[in-house]
Amino acid sequence: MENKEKIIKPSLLILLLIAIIFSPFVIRNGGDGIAPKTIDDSSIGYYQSTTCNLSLIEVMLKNLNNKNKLYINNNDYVGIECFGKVTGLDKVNDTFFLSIGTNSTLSFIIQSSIWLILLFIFSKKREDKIKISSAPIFIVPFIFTFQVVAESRFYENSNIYFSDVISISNFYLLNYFIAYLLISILLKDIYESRNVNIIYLLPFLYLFNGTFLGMNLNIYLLFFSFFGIQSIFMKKTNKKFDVAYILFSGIWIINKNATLNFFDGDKLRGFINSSNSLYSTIFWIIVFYLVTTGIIFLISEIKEEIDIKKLKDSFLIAGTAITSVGIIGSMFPLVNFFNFIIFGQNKRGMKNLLSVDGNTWRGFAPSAEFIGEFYAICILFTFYYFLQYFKQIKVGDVLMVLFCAFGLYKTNNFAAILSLILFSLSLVIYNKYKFSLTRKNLILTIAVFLILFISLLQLGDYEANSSLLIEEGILHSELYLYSDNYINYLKKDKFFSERDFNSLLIDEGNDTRASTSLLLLVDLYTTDNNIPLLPNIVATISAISLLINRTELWGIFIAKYSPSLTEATFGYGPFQLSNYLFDHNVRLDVPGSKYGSLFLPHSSVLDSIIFFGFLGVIGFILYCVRNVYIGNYSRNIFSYLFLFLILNILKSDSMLYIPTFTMFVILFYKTFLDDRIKNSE
Amino acid sequence: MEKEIENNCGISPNNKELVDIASDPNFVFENDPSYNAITLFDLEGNVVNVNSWVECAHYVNGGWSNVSTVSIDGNRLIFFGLILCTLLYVGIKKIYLSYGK
Repeated sequence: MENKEKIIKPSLLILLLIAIIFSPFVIRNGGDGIAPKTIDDSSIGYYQSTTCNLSLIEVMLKNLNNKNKLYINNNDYVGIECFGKVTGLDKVNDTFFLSIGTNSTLSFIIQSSIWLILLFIFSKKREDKIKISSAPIFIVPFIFTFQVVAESRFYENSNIYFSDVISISNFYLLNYFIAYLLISILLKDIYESRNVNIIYLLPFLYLFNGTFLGMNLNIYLLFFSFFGIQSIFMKKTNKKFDVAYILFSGIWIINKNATLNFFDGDKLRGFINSSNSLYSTIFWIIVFYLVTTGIIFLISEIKEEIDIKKLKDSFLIAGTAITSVGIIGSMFPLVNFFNFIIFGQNKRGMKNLLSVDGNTWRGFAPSAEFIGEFYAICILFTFYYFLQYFKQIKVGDVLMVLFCAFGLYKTNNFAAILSLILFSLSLVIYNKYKFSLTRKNLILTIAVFLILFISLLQLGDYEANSSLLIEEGILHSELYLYSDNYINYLKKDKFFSERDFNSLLIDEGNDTRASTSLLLLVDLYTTDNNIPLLPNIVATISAISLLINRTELWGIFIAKYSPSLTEATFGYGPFQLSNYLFDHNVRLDVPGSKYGSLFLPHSSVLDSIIFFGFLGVIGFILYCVRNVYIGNYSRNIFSYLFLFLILNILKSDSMLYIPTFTMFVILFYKTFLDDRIKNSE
Repeated sequence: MEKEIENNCGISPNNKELVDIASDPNFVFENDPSYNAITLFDLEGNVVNVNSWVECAHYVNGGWSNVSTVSIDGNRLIFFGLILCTLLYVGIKKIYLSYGK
C-alpha cells in the first residue's frame, strides 16, 4: 500500500508538472477562423498583424517540415492574454525570429511551481519531525517585493503591468508579494516534511539555473534567504562575521554615490545588481548576507554522513544532463525555447553545435568557463570515487564520464583540463604513498611549486613580459584624445619600447584620464624601492597573466577599474558592478564588433575586490591561510575540491553565477567550519 | 497624426518619410538595428513588436498605440488566481492534517 503511494504521488505530480509547463503553449481561443501558416517570407506580415491568437505549439505543428531557419524568442513584456501565443515574426538575415508571449509575472508563478514540485519529488520524506520558525514567511515577501521598487529600471522594461507606486491598489506589486508569501509557505512545509540535502542537490544547481524570465531574480536567492532568516531567528549566525558585515554595510551605504547607470545583467541576470541606487544597494547587501548564512544554515543542519556514491551519481547525472540538453537544445529551436523556461537559464543556450570565440562551445550554460569547471569537478570527483571503490565502477558511470568529458572538451577550458590532470595525478600519488599533509609537507609542496613556477616564468622572455599587463591597460585607456584611435595607439606605442610609462602619463595630461588602478600599477612597477631578490609584484602578475592568457582581459580591468581610496578598501558592495562598468571612460582597443560586449574582469578575485575591496579580500585570504597554518582545516575530498575550485576561479568569473557561489560556500564550510562545529558540539 | 506617431515612435530618424504600404501582405519591414524595439497594442489587446521607425509609424497610422487598454485585467486575474491558490493550499493542508490526526 505504502509502495503504491510512493509511485502514484510522484507520478501525479509529474503529470501536473507537464500540464503546468506545456498547457499555456497549447491552449488557444478556438472558433476565430485564424489558422497558422507556414513560416516564410510571405507570412511575416500575417504573423505581425495576427498577434496573441495562435499558440506556439499549433504554429510549430504547422511548420514541422519547414526547412527555414527558425529561432523562438521569449517576449516577457506582453500581457497574460498573449501568454504562449505568437506575438510577432521577424526575419534577420536568413533566420526567422518567432516571438512568443511569456509575461514575466505569470512565468514567475509557473517556474516557481515547476521547481518547488521538483524539490518535493527529489527529496525523501523526513524520518524525524522538525519545526522551524514561521517568521521568514512574512519577511521574505517584504524583502523581495522591495527589489521590484529598488531595481525599477530593470523591471519597467520587462513587464507591461509594471508599476512601482506603493499602494494597496497596485496589483503588480501585490501579485509579487502574494507569490513570495505562497512560495515561503511551501518552502517551510517542504523543509519540515522532506529531507532537503543541499549537498546532493548542489550539482543540479548547474542544470536548474533557477533564473526567472524577465526578472533579475533567482529561485535560489529566495530559497537561501528564507533559511538565512531562519538562521538569524535560531541565533546560528557567526557573530564575528555579523559585526564585520555590518561595518562594511555601513560604509557601502554612507559612501554610496548613486547614479542613473543601468546594467541589464546579461548572462549574470538573477545574481547581480542592475541599478546603482541606494535602495538596490541595500537590497543586495541584505540578500548577500541572507544567502550566505542560509547556505551555511542548510549545510550545518545536515546530520547524516555524506554518501560519496550518491554524490558522485548526482555530479554525473547533472553533468550528463547538461551536455545532453545543450546538444538537443542547439538542434531543435522548440527545445531551446523550453530549456530557457524549465531550467531557468540566465542566457539562452547555443543555437548550434559550432564553436565560437576562442573555439569555445558553452552549450546549455551561460559561460563556457563556468561550465567547464563544473565538468572538471564532476570528472575529478568520479576519479576520486574510482580510486576509493575500484570494484564498484559501472558501465553507466563510464558513459556519463564520457558525456562530461565531451562537454569539457567542447568548452575548451584549458585551465580546467590542465588542473584536472594535475589534481588527478596528485590523487593517485596520495592514494599510493598515503602522503600525509602535515604543515611541514605543505610548506615543502608550496616551496617546490614556487620554484617550478618561477623557473617556468624564466623560460619565456620575463623582461619583455613583465610590462605587458600595464601596456594592455594603457592601450584600453582613454588617454590621448585623437578621434582616430590608430593615432592614439601610435602615441602610446612610442613609450612602450623604453617602458617609460611615467612620461606617457604626464604627456598631454594623460594622468588625469587614467584609472586610479593604472596609476597605482605604474607607480609600483617603476618604483626604486624593490625588495632585493624578490621579483616586482606587477611584473610577476604580468608574466603570469600571459601564461594563463589573461593579459588583455586583465588589462581592460585595469583601464576600467578606477575606485577612490575608500572604494578600493571596502568595495562598492555585493554584486555591484555598475561603477566598474560605467564610471570610468575607456576606449577599448578591441574589434568594432566586440566594442559593445560585456567585459567582465575574468577573475573571481578581481570581482571580489570590486564588491568587497582589498580589505574584504585580504581579510578572507588571511583567515584561510591562518587556519591552514594552525592546521584547523579538514583533510578530505571537499578541501581538495575547494583548492581545485579556487585555482580555477582565479582566472574566471564563475563566482558571479549562483551555482559556483553556492559550491564555494559549501566547500569553504566543509574545509574550515565543519570540524570546528562538530568539535564544539 | 504626425504628433501621435512622434509620441509613440519617437522622432523620425534622418527625416524618413512614412511610405505608403497600404495593405500589401507581402511587404517586409526592414529591421533598423539602431532603433530600440517598441511594443504596440491595439484596442483588443493584440500586441506587435516593431523594429524600425517606419514599421512603428505604419502601425500607429493603423490605430495602434504603445499604451495598452487591457493590461489592468491581467494583473487582477493573476491577483485573484494567487489568492485562490493560497487559500486552496492552506485549506487542503488543514484538511489533510486533521485527516492524518
